[in-house]
Amino acid sequence: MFRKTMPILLFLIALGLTIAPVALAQDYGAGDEAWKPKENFWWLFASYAVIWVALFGYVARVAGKQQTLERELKRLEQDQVK
Amino acid sequence: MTTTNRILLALSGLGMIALCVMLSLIPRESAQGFVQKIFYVHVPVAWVAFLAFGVTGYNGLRYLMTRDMKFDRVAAASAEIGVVYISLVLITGPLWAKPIWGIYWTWDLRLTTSFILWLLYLAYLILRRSVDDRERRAQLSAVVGLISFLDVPIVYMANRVKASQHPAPVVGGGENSGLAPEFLATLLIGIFAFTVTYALLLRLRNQQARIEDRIEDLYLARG
Amino acid sequence: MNSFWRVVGAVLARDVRAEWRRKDIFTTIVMFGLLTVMVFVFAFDPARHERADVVPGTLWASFLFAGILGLNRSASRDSQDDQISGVVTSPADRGALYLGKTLSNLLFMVIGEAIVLVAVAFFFDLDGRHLAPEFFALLVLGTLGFIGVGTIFALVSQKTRMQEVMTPILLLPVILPLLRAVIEGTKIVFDPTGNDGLGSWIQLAAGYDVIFLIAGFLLYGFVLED
Repeated sequence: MFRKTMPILLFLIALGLTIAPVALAQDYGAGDEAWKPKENFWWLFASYAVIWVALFGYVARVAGKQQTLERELKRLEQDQVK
Repeated sequence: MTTTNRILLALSGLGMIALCVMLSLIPRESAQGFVQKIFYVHVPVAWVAFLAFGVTGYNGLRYLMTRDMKFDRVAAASAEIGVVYISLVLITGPLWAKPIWGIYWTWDLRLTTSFILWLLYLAYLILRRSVDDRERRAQLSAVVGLISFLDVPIVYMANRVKASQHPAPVVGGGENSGLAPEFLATLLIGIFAFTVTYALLLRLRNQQARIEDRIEDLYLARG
Repeated sequence: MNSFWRVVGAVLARDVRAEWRRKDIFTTIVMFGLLTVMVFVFAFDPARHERADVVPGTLWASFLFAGILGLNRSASRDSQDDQISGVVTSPADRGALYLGKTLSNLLFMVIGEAIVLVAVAFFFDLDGRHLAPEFFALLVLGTLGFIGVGTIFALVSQKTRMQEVMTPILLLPVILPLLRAVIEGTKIVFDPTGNDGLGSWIQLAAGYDVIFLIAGFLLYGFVLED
């Protein structure tokens, strides 16, 4: 399970981190201002980056530990059968 | 990964992408300018942090009523995830306050309440670490979790009275700031995305806790 | 109903008798109360700051820290003597145990507070302001809420690995809104110029007490069983 989901999770994190600055830098209806660099942009980006990494990183950590635990459980249950 | 979890993961991812799309479409806010967009993650994350604490309190109550371990597992999982969320609130708050007010922190109503919630979460988790016996840990955590949860609205009210007497810069708009429809829609999408992510994390962590307990039982059975 | 009050009375009597002999809870509260006042005198020089700002906080912080130590002593005494488990018979008794324990802790706390208060009134020249009935209301409500939550949390701490250290970690976050209410209320009472907003603080403190005394009453039994 882990092998399948980890790439997906990493993809989501990467996607989030790339889309976010592009998305955030947009300024609909601002006319000429739309493509100029925004003030305080890096503060905004930092917030989003922290959240993305924290949450999806936590998902990755839990999913990773899960795999180890499942293997251990299987081993113990087989031992019990013997 | 179970089907439900896959669905939740997909919804979570889609929700986040939708949020980004919406953020690019909405116009900038007039008073605070560009950086105001932090609002659309700061508020949903805060909402989930409070929700998660409620889930912990409620499941603690259910444990006391039934002595069924599954409730304790959910309570503990929710607390773990909740502390992550509330920490994010405490990180994004200053990141928002610094460019706007020039200061990292202020003792306004929301930040103070959030910090106290963080302390309550931490106390709960420290308690759990300090008890080794499973049933005793569940029992004590349920009592403490419940009392701590009852405290949250009172914390808010106490800080509110203080705030009305000594106004301080408010991070996140005043109490009565209405929202234009496109802002509201973005906020709701944000709340949806982060709540779904919470649900996913809760399920994953809970399943893991169940396996951890099972493994511990097997080790004990071995002797 | 009769047995309920009998249990309350029994717990109260037992605690008072033990304390009369040893006097260590009371000594702890008074000693640490005065010491904390000293720390705050050094921390915030009362000669330089507006007195109304410094004294209420100093007073309540001293009560708080002294009280935590007193609660811990009281709870550990039960664990050592192991008398309290002998009394656990019926579910109705458990609420009575909570009430009895809370009342005895309250008694010791109030006596200790009175002594510290006399000292503070003298050192900071409170000039009778601490004798105002509003202040006594705050004193009673604040101490009651603090002891109400503290009694149950002190027992929880006894059952953990960290023991006494756990009590402030659990108690302080939960007690913060009550602390805010009584300190702000005390500021208003001690400051001769203003009397606005006292009502809402007193209401908040009273509401807090009602909620948490009931919660403690219902939940104490769960902590006792083991």
